[in-house]
Amino acid sequence: MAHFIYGTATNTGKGFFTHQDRLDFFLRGYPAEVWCVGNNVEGARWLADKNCVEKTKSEAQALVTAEVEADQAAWDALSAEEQLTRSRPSDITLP
Amino acid sequence: MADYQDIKGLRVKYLSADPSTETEGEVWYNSTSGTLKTSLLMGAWSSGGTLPTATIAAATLGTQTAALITSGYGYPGNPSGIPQTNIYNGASWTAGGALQNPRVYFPGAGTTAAGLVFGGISQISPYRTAETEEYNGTAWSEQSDLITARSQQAGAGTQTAAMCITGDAKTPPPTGTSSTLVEDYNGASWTAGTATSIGKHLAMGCGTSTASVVWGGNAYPYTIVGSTEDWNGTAWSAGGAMNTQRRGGGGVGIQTAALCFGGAGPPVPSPTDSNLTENYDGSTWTTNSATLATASSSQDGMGTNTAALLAGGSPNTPPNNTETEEYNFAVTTQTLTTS
Repeated sequence: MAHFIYGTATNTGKGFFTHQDRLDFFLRGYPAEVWCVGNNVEGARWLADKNCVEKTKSEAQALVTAEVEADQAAWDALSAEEQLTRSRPSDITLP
Repeated sequence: MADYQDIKGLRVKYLSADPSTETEGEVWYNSTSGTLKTSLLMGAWSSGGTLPTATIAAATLGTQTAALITSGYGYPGNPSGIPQTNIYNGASWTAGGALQNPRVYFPGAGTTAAGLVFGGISQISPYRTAETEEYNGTAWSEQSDLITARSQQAGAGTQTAAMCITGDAKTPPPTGTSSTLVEDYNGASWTAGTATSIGKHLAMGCGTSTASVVWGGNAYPYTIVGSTEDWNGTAWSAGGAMNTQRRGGGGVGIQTAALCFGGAGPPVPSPTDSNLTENYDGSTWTTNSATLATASSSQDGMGTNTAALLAGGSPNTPPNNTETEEYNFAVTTQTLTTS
């Protein structure tokens, strides 16, 4: 059984994930509004409650990679002065 | 074998619902769910109110329920910084007075009613700025400049007793330095303070003008360090080493109860954003089991080591840089299982 479930949902702010949620199940947020949660009852219930659109791991990874690559391209277009003041976005591999 | 009654002098309560008010260590059986439960003091990060403006490398100050974030990068670009100030009440953000000199990578100190920001990068020649501004709850006003213009420094203290610690003082960019310079603010002007032992920029710091701590950061050009220095009002001394070295993360609390979260760790020059949290007790760093939901850097924090707030920062893509997270160390219900 896969360890994680993936989906996309918009973070609505306060209460989107709670203190209790974070103690009950694994949760990580990524660019492109991708969320990764533990593959258990609590994680699946949270995804459903937030109306997440479930994705396969490869679909979720493609969304994250596209967003990161767009951001890397934006960074590459900055002047040398501006590049020095912020890090080039690094690649992200979903768990 | 001793049972719960032998140890606590009480029997496990048999309840149809969880108690409305829980005490740390309390144990009960919930007959409705058929589960044994307890109350534990545990820290965790939860989502906070969404920022109205995407913000990276801004100045922050205040507490979790009375916080301020000002200027920083918008998205996309805005290299000179955006002027917006936003105020948080623990649930949502509202607009405050505009910063007079927009900039990026600069710290804040004090409260939403008596705030202070200093230094940073203005992208207007000579780039690194010495500008100091005070916030009175509604508007920013210019004050006496830092002696040495710099960016990516740590801050500590209040509006009338603040410290500007380390930073990159080289002008103009892109070449840089990692400075040991320290300056002290008394509410009217800056004076030279006692230099730290280790030069760094993008370090994290917190505390007061007589008991502060600075840790982590970047030793120019590309070494991310995990060292800590403690200030006792007279001299700097070496503190405990971080478990995970980072730069550009959040730092809140006091010298003997500090919290570090997020930041970027090796490898450089393209470091990876972290979701780790660590606690400092004045001598030792301990990795906290609570992690940020979204790894972040180029942000700062507000609050204390039991009630903190993270706002803005990377990833550099919307909506991540409008998301906020709140750390609370609070009594929570946990179900006891045999595994």
